[in-house]
Amino acid sequence: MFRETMLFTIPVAISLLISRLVFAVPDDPAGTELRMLVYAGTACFSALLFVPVGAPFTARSLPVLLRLCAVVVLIFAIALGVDSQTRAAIGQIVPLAMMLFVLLIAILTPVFVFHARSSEVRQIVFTVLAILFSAPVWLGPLTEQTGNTPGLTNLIVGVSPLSALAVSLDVDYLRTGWFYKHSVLGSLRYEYLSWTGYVLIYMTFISSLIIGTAKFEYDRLFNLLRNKVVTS
Amino acid sequence: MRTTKTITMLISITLFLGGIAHAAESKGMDPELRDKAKRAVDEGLHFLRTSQSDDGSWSNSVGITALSLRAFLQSHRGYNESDGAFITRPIDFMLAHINEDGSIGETNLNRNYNTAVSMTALAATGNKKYDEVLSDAQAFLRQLQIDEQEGYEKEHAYYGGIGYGGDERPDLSNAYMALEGLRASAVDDDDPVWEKALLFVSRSQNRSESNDQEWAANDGGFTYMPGFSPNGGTSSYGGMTAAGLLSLLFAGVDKDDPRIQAAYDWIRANYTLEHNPGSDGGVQGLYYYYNVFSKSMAAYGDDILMDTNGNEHNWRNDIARKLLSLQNEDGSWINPDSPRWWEGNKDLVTAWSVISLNAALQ
Repeated sequence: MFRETMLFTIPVAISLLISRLVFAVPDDPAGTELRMLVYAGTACFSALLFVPVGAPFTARSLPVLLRLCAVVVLIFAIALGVDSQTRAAIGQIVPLAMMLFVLLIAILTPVFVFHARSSEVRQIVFTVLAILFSAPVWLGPLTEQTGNTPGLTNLIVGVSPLSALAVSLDVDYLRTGWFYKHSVLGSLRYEYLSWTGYVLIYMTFISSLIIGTAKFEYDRLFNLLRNKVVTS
Repeated sequence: MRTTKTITMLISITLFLGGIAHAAESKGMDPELRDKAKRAVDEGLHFLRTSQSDDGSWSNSVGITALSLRAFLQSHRGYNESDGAFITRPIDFMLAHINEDGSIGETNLNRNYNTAVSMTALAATGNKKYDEVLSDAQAFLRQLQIDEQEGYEKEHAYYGGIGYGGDERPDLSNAYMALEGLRASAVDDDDPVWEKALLFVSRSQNRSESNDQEWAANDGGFTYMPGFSPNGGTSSYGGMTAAGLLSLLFAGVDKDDPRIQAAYDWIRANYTLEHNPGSDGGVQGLYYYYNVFSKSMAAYGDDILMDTNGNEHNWRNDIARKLLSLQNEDGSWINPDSPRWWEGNKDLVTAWSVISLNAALQ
């Protein structure tokens, strides 16, 4: 179990450090909230990318997952503590931690549900997540072309897990420097979904997958048992 | 004979005085155009009346409500709170969205913008009972301003700037709005907020003599924020140049100051109302440009502007003709070519346009 935990957490930590280097703003003493959002997004992707191939799907995975989330939250807490400008955000660590946990579960559940340490499912899930995370950038022009229809704009903002993290951090990330330059959404009218709204949506998604898994497992075991009875 | 002479003299004096009065009223804008502009204002305000919600708001937005209210209060009709619910309800709507930190707004987004335009609108009522609200709002904007409290030193490009309020990235557009709100609510000239803001405003200008940033060019115009223009690189464009000029004036800089003259010269060199000069495609932020152009020219004080080709322009006539040509049949205005910066919203664009005409009619 310790080995599994390390297999999860070391790649996550490496990804966080790399992303910190890539997205650092050297002359900005404030430590932008955007960087924290990128760290969180990288952590979520990392958990998916570095899931050990071939590891058995057992009931021990849940405690491992919890340990992973605890480590990620701890890393964020340290990052927030070192950065003097974001110490005020420590008060938001609980919603942030919750949202990270929910997002990690949401990302990993498809992998677990389909017993998939297989590369194909990982790639599909990763691709879908990459598309969703980056939706505010590449889907922004669509909102402009359609005249900034409020429903469409808010939908595009809402589908990105970055928005969920931003809401938990109480940060208008679409108007931070990088996004304002690369996404048209910052110049349009939009609203973020509420934090509780995001939690409900993701928990519903996870619950659906778990129920689906239970049904899948039930059918699989039922057929297995029936075949055994028939052959015997 | 003597009686006839007296009467003739009296009539002459009367005509002379009437002529003076008429000339004073029509100073700047041609009289016939002035009447048309007033009619356009009335039609715009009529549209706003029809689009106003039952709670007095427009587009369910504190910011748009404040701008619409300002359009009414500063119009030639001289509307005030005694005129009825269409004035008092939007005030109540804004007051109902006062937050604990002194900001005014229905959302965490656009806190600076909403608070600043609300301050301008409340100040325009002339009612002293809003002084405490204005004082709290001033305090909010001061703490929003980037300075040592956020860990920035004077040498940093962001120092003195003000952003949307949801993050710490400042920009000249939000800074000018905040300064307008602070000036409208009569913040003292010696308040440090002005000096700090001047640093940021100067660092947003393409004028290397007063901008210590390496990227600064020398056309005298302004860019969106230090080191960035949405039109590419650090290029100057009309909306921000007018905003920068207005910001300098708000901050108490003398009209003859080289920074102001450089900005005015950029406007002279790029004078047009056919598009937002220097912007990508010229249509983005067009009505924002019209609005801030009118206010900046009114504040600068010269009715006649000579462009760098030697042509004279009466900016009051020009902006009035332009806005009249763009007004829709229902009295509204809208930017059909770009929804950026909310210019696809009829309430907002109509409010901006009426405010522009109000400034030109001053």
